[in-house]
Amino acid sequence: MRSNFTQQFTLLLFSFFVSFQGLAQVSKFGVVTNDELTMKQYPLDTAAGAVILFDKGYTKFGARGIVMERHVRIKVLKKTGYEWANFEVPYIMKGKMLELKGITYNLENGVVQQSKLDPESAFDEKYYEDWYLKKFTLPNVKEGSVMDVTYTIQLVTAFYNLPAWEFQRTIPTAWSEYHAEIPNHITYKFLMQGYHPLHSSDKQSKAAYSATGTSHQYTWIMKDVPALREENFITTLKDYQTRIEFELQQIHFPGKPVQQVIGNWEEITKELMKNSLFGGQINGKTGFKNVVAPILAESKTREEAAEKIYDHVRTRMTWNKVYGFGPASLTLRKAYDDAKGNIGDINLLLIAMLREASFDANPVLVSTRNNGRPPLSSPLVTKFNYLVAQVEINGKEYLLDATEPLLPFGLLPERALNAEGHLIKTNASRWIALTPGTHSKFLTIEAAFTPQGELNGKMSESAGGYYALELRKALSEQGEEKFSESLAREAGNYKLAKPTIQAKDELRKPLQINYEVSSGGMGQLTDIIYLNPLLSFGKTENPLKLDERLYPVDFVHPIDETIIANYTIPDGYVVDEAPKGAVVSLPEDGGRFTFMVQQNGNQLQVMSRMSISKPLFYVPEYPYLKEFYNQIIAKHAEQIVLKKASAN
Amino acid sequence: MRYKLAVLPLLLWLALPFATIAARTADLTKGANVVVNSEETVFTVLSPASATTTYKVNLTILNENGLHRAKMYVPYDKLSKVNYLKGVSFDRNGKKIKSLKSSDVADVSAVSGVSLFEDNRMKIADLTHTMYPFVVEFEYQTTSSNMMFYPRWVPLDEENLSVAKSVFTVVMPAGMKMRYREQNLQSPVTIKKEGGYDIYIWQVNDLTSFKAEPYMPDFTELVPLVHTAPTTFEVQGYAGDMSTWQSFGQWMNKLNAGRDELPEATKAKIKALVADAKTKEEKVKRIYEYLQSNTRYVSIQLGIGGWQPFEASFVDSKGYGDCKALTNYTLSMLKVAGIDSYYALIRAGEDAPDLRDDFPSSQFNHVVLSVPMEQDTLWLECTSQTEAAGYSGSFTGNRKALLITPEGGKLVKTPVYTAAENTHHRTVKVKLDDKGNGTASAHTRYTGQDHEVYARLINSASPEDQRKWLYRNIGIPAFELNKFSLNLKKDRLPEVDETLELTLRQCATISGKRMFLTPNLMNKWNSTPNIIEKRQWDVERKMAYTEVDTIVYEVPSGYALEHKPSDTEHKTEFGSFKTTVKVDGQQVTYIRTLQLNKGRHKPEAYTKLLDFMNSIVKSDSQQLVFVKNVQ
Repeated sequence: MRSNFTQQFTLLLFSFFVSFQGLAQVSKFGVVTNDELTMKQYPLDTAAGAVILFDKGYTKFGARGIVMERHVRIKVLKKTGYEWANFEVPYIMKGKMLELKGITYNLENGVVQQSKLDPESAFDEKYYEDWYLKKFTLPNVKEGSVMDVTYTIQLVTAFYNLPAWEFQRTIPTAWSEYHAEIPNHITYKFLMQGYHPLHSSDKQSKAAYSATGTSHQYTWIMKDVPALREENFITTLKDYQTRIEFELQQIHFPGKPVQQVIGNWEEITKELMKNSLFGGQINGKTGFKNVVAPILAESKTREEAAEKIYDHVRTRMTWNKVYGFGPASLTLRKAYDDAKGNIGDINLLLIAMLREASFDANPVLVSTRNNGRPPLSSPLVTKFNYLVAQVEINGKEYLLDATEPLLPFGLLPERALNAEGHLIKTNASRWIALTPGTHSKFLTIEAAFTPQGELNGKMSESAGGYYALELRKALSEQGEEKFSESLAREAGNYKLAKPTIQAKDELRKPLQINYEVSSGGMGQLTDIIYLNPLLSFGKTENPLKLDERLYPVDFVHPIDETIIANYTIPDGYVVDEAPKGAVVSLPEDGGRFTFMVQQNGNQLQVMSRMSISKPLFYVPEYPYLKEFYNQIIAKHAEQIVLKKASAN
Repeated sequence: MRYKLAVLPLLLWLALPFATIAARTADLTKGANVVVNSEETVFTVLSPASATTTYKVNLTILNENGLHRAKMYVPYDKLSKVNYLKGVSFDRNGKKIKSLKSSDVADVSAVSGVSLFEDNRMKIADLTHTMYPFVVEFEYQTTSSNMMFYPRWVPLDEENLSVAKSVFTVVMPAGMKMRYREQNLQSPVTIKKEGGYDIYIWQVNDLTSFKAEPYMPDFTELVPLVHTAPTTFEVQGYAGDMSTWQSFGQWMNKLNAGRDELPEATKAKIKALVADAKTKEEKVKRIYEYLQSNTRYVSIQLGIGGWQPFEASFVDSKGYGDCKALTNYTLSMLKVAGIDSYYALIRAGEDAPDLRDDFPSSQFNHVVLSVPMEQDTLWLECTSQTEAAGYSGSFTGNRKALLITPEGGKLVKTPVYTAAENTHHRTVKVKLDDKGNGTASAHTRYTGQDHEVYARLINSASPEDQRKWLYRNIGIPAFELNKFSLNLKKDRLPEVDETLELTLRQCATISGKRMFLTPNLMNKWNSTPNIIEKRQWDVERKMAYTEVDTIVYEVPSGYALEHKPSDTEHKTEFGSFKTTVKVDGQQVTYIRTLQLNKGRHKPEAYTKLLDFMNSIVKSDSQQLVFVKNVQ
């Protein structure tokens, strides 16, 4: 799965450069062509509200830090493109955004009108810490306007963080070029991602950047980049965007030893384990003996002990909604005493306690779904924002996360289910799959018909995995009274009443809800009874309606939905018609749908089971997946007909 | 999206005689996540131009659903400041957990996402703890010079919160009159005179938690509440009197005075633009179109607490402004064309509670323009680049607005949209084959509030996104959308015409020799709200509309009808519902008419509303059954 994953996303490492000749796609600030002014629509995307005619960035290392010059020209085509006239530029150090200039060009009765951005009407808003936002909007923007904006910003050099360059935005970009002048003593790895190819790239030696060093100028150009589009069932749109990122590898000042910034996983593991805020908290004496000893004393098996320690951390600690794999508290003891902490605090605490109980427990670095794809090709800790615990018990591996109060032992929350995580373990660091649990739903219906066509019986719904988590969360938020109230309802012919909830607090068991189900006479002839065998619980809507798909479908986890219904047929009635059985399979064991109807005396049994057994489907599989759902919907709409034996 | 003046306290109207809320002996923890043990608000008016608010609260947080109350948010801006903010927390045994340090207080921007610039900020104090229950105590003081707003006291300000004791005190310098409006209280105000001050005191005790119900009136109508407002007040040197709508309007006139001057070149342009217009309405429409194609809405909330518009000349040179600036600009252009119009303050929003028209005070968040015509009034939404002239819709229709006339403020009604205006009429022709698959061509006309979502789709989505939206929103289980068109007709009552060409998958279900057909193709109701055992609140339906769906099927030959749903008709106080099914050879004609009214009903009516809704759900799932003829 891993190789597939990286292939799909064309994560490329650039090791060579094609030759590059200067292209006149970018003109000087303030030099706008007649074609740009008279353009009525963008031929490659005629529906676009605005198009970025060009976007040019030039970054270099100066005496006072990294300086980035930006020049962007945008054509407004429709009113829906107006929002592109509002700019928000984050920068550090108040007032240090230099040379902000903006002009709107309008063609009015054949005459070019210029409206200049008044620097007075740009606002500074404090963002966080040292960061400010420069906010401004261009004047006199109308359909047809061309907006030209240029500015220079300074960035702090301390971390040599080169900002990523986005070639792709949510409107099309005709031309995007980025230049980075990088001193030879600093080495970056260039990480390109996305679906759009480079037009050209280049590397040229530059004159001395300072008295002591030389530099190279790198160039990347893309043209005709389509707008970035949102779809459902994806991780985060950022993962699908075409952009380049810069990963600092090493710094080597002339005459000084090489400063290796990026190491390998072995070194990172060593570093982390040495770090007093990370490894220091879980190695050796943890100071939780007094908490762990009584738990061990009352546990019969190792599994039980691990689960009790997990339950203790999960119920005691509250996650403060702050991400990060490193702990925020000075010591885990402090976090434990405060009973709250960030992700790192809570799951490292769990690891510390498991280790105190002599388990082989280790941290796993994770990048959440919102944070984007994990850096499978580079040992890059800054890409992670989350941590879970891995523990081995009697040869079996478990992944644990104690930050969700209602999450059972061994299940990871959906936010953490993002491909793979990196196990941090001395001499045994490796990528491990973040295997999801299942979203499972099991309905059983036992009901009998009266000759009047009335239906009375019982239903039980058993929720497992992520579905159970979802229901337990709702139950906890609404309280049992309100939650039960929301379950009892009348839906057309069927009425669900007297819900009772079982296994509310036993997280490892499915949550079970029992109902009474009934249906009045259907106002139909009593010698024929029509019945939808799944009552109103069948599938009636395809979650995948569109006929094409750009990105893989990511369901996050497998899905399993089963309905088993038993109906007692009243005396004197026979089954006149019943749906035929069916089996539908997805290619490569991706999923399966089974439908069965069986009669046994006056008992009629109906079984429907849908399982999606893998979370991720690539674009070529999309039509099958869509058809799979269509077939289920069609089958679920079929009817059973009961007929009075005497009637013909 | 496009409204917003400054932050304003949510206010509301309609006092219901209401006494059952207080049950002295009640268990305050029942149904509660938070218990307010004691709360005290003292609002001290120092002069018409400034006041301080001192607030102190002690509350118990019972579980994690009440945890948000362990944070205290204190907003401030250029016209107000936070003098202090203190806090301390205690565990269940009364042992101190933590005293708030100044480093624990965050200071963040409170600018709403849509805004380019506002100066709103807030301080946030966090005493989050995790061993329940625990107690937090907060105390703060603010000083404000924005005296348009006096406080609103709402002890029960959310669900699942109960109150042991809450006191609200207003201290006025003697001779300065304060106005108030009480609602659902246990006891009215106590007034005393002390040391040159008039002191007003309200108190409530033992309020059990509020329980929300589907289709209830606005929350703030149902709970104990006191509104207060100034008589004379001052904001940044602009003095006014709020005791009548008229005088409030006179104050607005002061703010707007002299801000309607346009450059000569623009004046000439406007005069030329309307020179050959035949009617007054034609002139207004041309100027409105000029506004729509030359300006855009940008939210910049500054000046006199965000209440003074930018000058018309500013909008003229920059081509943008907020609701006040754009409205004032349009007013200025109309004036050049010799047309009088009025700036109108309004409380915009689809679910905005009604204006409390008997209590003049700052209850607005938006500004529109009202243009008197010979017969009626034309309302203009000046922040929209696409809206039809004269259409108010769900954003500003069906409510009262404060017209700012030269004589002062005057309350008037904006256009009302009833079930006759908000409609959809649909005709579909479906042809089915002997597998139950088929093709359909559907034509629908949406009017009034029903057209709004489609107009937005036309104005803001690309054809590709429109197609995606239709795929998501067409209520048919399995289909392909082969072709579609959407056409907007702008008018005082705008319309959208939609045509769809569809391929249907198993529209009818074949089981053995039978064919089942649910004639309601694409407008099915499939659920009803919760059953509530003992309904407490009135039932309120806020939107009226009419839907007529006519679906004509051509079923494959060789089938005989076995069962046909009986026609239904329900007439209730909430509306009416009617279906008919006619079978004529291979042709099935299904007609469904649903009309829902707006209105307010007694709590007991809820069961009847559910019955009515459920009869719609039932009817929508009914089927025709055909049997294949034996050859």
